[in-house]
Amino acid sequence: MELTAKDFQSAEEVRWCPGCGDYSILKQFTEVLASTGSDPDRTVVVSGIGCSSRLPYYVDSYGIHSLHGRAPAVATGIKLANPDLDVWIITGDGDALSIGGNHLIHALRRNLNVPILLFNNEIYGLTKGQFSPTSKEGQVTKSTPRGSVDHPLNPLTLALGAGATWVARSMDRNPAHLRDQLAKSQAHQGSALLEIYQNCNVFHDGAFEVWTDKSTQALHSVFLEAGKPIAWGGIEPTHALAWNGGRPEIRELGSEFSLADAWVHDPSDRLKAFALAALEGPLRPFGVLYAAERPVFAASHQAGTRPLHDVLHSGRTWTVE
Amino acid sequence: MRSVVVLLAGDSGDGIQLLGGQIVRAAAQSGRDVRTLSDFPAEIRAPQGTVSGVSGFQFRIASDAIHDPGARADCLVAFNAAAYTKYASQLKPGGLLLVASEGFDARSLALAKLASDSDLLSAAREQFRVLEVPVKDLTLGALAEVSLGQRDKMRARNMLVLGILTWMYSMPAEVVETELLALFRGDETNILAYKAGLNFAETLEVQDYRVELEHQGVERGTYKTINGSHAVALGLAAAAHQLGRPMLYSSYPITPASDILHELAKLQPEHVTVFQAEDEIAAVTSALGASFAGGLGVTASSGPGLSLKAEGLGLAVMTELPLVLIDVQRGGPSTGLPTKTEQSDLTQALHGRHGEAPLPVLAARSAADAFDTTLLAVKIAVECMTPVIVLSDAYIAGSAQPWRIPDIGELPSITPPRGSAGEDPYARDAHGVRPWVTPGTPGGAHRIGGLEGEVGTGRISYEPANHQAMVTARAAKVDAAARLYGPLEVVQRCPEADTLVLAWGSTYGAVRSDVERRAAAGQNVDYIHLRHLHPLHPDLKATADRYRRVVVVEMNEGQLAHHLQGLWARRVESVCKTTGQPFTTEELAELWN
Repeated sequence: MELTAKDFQSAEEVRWCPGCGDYSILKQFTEVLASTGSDPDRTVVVSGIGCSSRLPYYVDSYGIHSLHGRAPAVATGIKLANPDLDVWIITGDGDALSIGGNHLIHALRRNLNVPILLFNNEIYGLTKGQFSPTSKEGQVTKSTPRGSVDHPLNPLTLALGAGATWVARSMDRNPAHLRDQLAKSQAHQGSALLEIYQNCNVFHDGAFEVWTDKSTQALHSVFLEAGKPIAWGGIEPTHALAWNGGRPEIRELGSEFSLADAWVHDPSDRLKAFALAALEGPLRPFGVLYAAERPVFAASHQAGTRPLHDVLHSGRTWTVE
Repeated sequence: MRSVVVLLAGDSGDGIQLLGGQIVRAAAQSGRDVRTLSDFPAEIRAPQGTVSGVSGFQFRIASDAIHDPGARADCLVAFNAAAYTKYASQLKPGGLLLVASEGFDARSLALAKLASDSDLLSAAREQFRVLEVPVKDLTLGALAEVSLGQRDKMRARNMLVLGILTWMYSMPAEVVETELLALFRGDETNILAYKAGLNFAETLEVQDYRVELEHQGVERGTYKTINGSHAVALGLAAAAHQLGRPMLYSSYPITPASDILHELAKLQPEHVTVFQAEDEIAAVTSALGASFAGGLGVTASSGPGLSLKAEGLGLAVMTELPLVLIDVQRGGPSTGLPTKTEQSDLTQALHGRHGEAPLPVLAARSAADAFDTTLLAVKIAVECMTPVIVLSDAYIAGSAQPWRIPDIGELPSITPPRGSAGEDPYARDAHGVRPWVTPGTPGGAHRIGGLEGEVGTGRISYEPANHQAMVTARAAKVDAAARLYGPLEVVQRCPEADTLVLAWGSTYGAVRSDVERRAAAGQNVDYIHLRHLHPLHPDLKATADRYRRVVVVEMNEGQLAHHLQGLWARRVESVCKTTGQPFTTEELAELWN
């Protein structure tokens, strides 16, 4: 019997603030679990602490709501004990990039075979509004009344630097795109970091509006597709990126620069993926920036095979008759 | 003679620990009992020839069963002036001082910060019997035909001394040779030096120094020498076998716990996966992840690492998952004394978590006992669904003793709790234990986490009465772990004793020798050595109530004494020290009456 999204929804009352972007992410997540034929008995959703990390409670599968920042370490242990389980990590910008930064980079470099869904809302929500490691310079929050002086972390360049084999970005307000990226993250063999722009309508409303709102999205968001020119602006694209010897340049499409001259997206090119990830201005890329193959972690960590008798009698022994 | 104590001391590059290890193996194989005590610097290669770079290895060989490595040495082997300077006070008056003469030249004296004209050995002759051996010349002579540079040949000096000691303590020379052939994979260089030492001792005027030690009758079986680290690794391998499920050993390098990681990585036991995590926190939380997934997570640490794991232990208590943490205690706080021993983590093991978070705490009393204690810890963790802390220490980790390898049929059973779907995740059995339904179990999907759970269902609950009920249930479940203990063992029982000595962990050998000496001298003291620090053995309090005096001996500032005093609301006398060194029997005799 085929399962539906409803079969993946637990009986727990969902308790995010009304209007929170997390509702959409939860909905797309359960739909993808259903559409990909996931087995709830073999699915394990692991989270840390924060608003995003409440998600496992709402999914009818196995789940563990662990410690702040430690979800990648917990997931590593789960995969080592049973590599056949379908494990997901749910985390946020504070959880993954601040208190859990160390675990995140090591999970990525080891190529732990799990999708990591990083809900980025550029704020600490559950603790009621302090600046996070992705908050912008000058962002006014409860702990930075005169504006944040910290330079923000870029989750995508960090992931690429740490050796992630799959890096992508999506958003809460584009359900079709989000479902597509979730399915791809699940299909990837290795650690898949999916940054999801998620609106916190209580403490940092509209942080990503320019990229997610239909009225402005076409001008500022570029949706990447492998083998296609990197172009945006509407159904008929108006702009495209030029590689320009490693100095990406935004070009207006016309007689001087046509789609044929544009940079063609190649997700296997790590250097170009860095260039895309580093776009921190008004233009932001969405979709799979980078995808590569590398042996997955648990496969290299097999349990020993030496029988107990041989282990106990290892080394030099002697016998007393 | 019943027993002899020998202290080997030299530069940390002189191969002192290797030399000691070989003698111990030979002694054990010839049916003597042996205990050892290592003392080495925290630095990998401390400045050569200096007092801070001295590495020491003490061993005691006996014809009968012994429990401690002895106090002051009958013989001190000093490879250089620094080694003699550091340890001279530990040699008994009239004891034998065996010195490598080249280690007492002007350069060696300077490195030891002694005046170049000081005549150490003449002064030593006034207190000790001194045997000067030209170790360097004899070694180079023995290796004259070997095509190696002088520096490489000098590395065999410890083997020359091994030859001398083998003869001096009437060890079976052929056993030592077989061991060396295996150790050096047939390379003759070290054997040549060893034989030269043996011949030197036999043919020269060393007769006066020979000690005959009789052989004891030991239990039949197959033996090996083990130290505490190896014993814990074997205990985990045995536990994984008995459990029949995957075990994840997850740890981060730290002295002295790392040796367990090395042992397991080398042994590759079936069911056991070894993982070196990115930090202490990842080590404990990945272990917990393995337990959630249906394996058993095990982690280990020392010193500051224990503090870093406190957060993870809290989650293990809350989720009620099995987990074993081996704490190889060292001198603290902070980096403290990384290679020295102490029992100062007890309070943290018992209480050092946020919230009401009781968990079973066990302590190993010797290397051999670390095997059994590790097995018991796994049994309790799995059968009670709780994290368990095992306290070992740097002394147990590094001290060697002969050990009879048990038959697999002798090992205790380890039975996981029920694990099929259909029950609430936090439903409890008669002992308060919840089921262990692991991912992959059809129809068993459920969520657990760090938030307080509702009685039975485990669903998030902030209800006041529910929290109280869960706090009480978790504590009761831990208290019920005592059903898995054996009877309370009284190590020494005297007629009409009014004093009870309590000790725990690695003090066992010294305290046992001390109470035996007291009993022989007419002081009637009974002695119980605690393996179970939480929950305490159910019969302990009633037993202790029968004594006028309770004396607790431990290597800290009185942590168990204070704990018992609070728990029992009675006076408990504390005998303690915090020097980074184990108690000696001599010292204990002085410390209380």
